[in-house]
Formats: sequence, structure tokens, C-alpha cells
Amino acid sequence: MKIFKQLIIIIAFALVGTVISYLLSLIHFSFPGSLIGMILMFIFLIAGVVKSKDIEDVGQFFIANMGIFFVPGAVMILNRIEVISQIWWKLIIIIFGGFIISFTATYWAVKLTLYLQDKHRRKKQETNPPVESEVEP
Amino acid sequence: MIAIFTSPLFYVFLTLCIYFLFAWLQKKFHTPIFNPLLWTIIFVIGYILLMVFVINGQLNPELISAQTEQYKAACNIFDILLGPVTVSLALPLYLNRHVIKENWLAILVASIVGSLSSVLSVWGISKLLGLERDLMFALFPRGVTTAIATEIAGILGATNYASLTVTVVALTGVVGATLGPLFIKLFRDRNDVVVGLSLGSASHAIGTSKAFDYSSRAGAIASISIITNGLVTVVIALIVNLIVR
Repeated sequence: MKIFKQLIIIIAFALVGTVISYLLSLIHFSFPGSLIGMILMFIFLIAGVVKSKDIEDVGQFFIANMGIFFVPGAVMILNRIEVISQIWWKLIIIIFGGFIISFTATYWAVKLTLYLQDKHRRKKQETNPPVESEVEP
Repeated sequence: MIAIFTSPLFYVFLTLCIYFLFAWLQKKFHTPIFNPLLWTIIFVIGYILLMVFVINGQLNPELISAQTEQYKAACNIFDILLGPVTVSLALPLYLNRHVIKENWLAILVASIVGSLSSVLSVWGISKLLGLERDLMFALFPRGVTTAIATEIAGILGATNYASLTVTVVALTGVVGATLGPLFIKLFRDRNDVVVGLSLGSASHAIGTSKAFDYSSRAGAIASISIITNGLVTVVIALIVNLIVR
């Protein structure tokens, strides 16, 4: 029973997302329905309309075993095998190159952000020192 | 007799068995090398080719294509559930929301820098190697979690190569979760926020499970960044789509 209820809630959000996505496409704005469903679900969870325990078992199962849902789509790569057999080495370069570039860029960008935030915080403390320290015995 | 081994139920059974085996191996040896999605793809493809050969005594594109369609039809139930699976991504976002408030700026920076550098690197390398546009668009979301990546391939009109998107995303995850820790060692800083955001943004879910090895806070931050990074890449894809069309 619990699993049914959770499945129904999650599928309902996916369907509502699809409907909204369709309505948006009428005003020439395309946005994936499943992502609208995800954002809606997040909003409903924050608002407390849906409790996390209402979707937890099925949701955690889906998250933990997400990979299997992509297998049929990925196996279709067999239909593109002639193309891919010619460019596989380019794909390898893109996978490694792309990872190294985006990982390094993100790593240092976050480091810089934290450093600047820290500097900003200290500067603030210098100009107006925290009051609590004086009040505290 | 051989028909049993290409029946829909057997295909579902086979997929479950291979996936379960590698999920178990991954858990036991605690290494991204045994990524269940990647190995299931490889074994199912091998199995389909074997069956085509056993039944027909030869391999040609049409026979392979027919058997692949048969497999797809059998396992369509997994495909149908992709929407609900994507909706479930709201759950980790919600459960880890406590780290959003104190790190929102770093998360935002990581998502923007992570997705932009990923998209630009794919664009740059593709231009350098002379890759055709459809293929380049299929690779655009290579650093994004699979559920969002396939949607991005759809936005960019690369649905013909959505299967390639899934495979490349999985490979990126495995490469990232293996190389990421080496880079962190090289760069020296093991701050939770830095480690979580760079692993999550650059190698999505597989990188996130590595981030949990550093600390639960790093893992929580990585879980958030998978989704924010994905959403920023969706926005980039929508803009690219507007420009290209």
C-alpha cells in the first residue's frame, strides 16, 4: 500500500510537469516536463504539502538505482555503431579533456569564492567588531 | 527453445541480473570502476550481438537493429519510469537543504563555472577535432546527471544520439570519480565545500558518492550541486538553442 501511494504521488508530479511543459510550449517556451515536476516536488516538499516520508521509499530506490532506467535508451547506441566506431577516440578526448577542464575550473572558482567571502567577512568584523564579545562576561 | 533467450521477460531478467551483479560488486569493492549502468550497457550489447549471431549465423546492421528494437520494447518499462525517476531528484535536494543556505554563493559559482566550462570545453574540442554538430550537441551535457542530460540533448535536438549522451555521461562519471581524488591530492585543499562542489559539478552522481568518502557534508553539498549544475546547463542549452535556430 505504502509503495503504491508513493508511486502515485511521484508519477502524478511527473505528469503535471508534462502538462505544464505542454502549456508552456504553446507560448513557445520549451522546458522539459520531468524537470518542472522535479522543481514542483521540491517546492511542495519545502512548503510541507508533501512530506518527505510520503515519497521516501520509492524516491530513495529510484535515486539509488537510477542507472538501470537508462539501460534501454543507452543500448540503442547499437544503431549508431558505424558512426561511433569512427569517432570513438574523439569521444575519449572529450570525456577526459572535458572533465579535466571543468573540474579544475570549478575547483579554483569555488576556492576563490570562499577566499573572497572570508576576506569580506574579516573586513566587516574589523570595521564593526562583534558586539556580543563585549557583552559576554 | 532459443526464443526463450530473446523473449521480453528474459531481457528484463537479464538486465536486472547484470545490474544487480555490478551494483553488488561496486558496493563490495567500493570503486567506481564497477559502475552498474556502464557494465550493463556493455553486457547487454554483447548479449544482443551474440543472439543475433546464434540465430542468424551472421551479423549485419539490419538484424542487429531489429534485435535491439526487440530489447528496447521489452525493457521499455524502465524508459517509461524515467520521468518519475527525475522527479525523485527533488528528494536529495530537499534532504540536504541545510547546506544550501550557508553555501549558496559557492554553489551558484560552482554551477555556473562548472556548466559553462564543461559546455565550452566540449565545443572547443569538438571544433578542434572536427566533430559534426549533432554529435557535439549530444555531448554538451556530458557533465550533467543522466536524467537532466537526456533532456538537454532533447532541447538541442540531438535525440538521435541520446544513447550516446547516456553512455558518455556514465563514462564521465566513472572517469571523474577516479581522477577527481587524484586532482584533489594534487591541488591539496580538502575543504568540504571545494571537494563537494568540484566532484558534484564535474562528475555528477558517481562523483558525489566519492565526495561522501571525504565527509558527509561534502557529499551533501555535491548532491545539491548535481541538480543546480544540471539546471544551469538546461538554461545554457535553451540559450544555445535560441541562437542556433
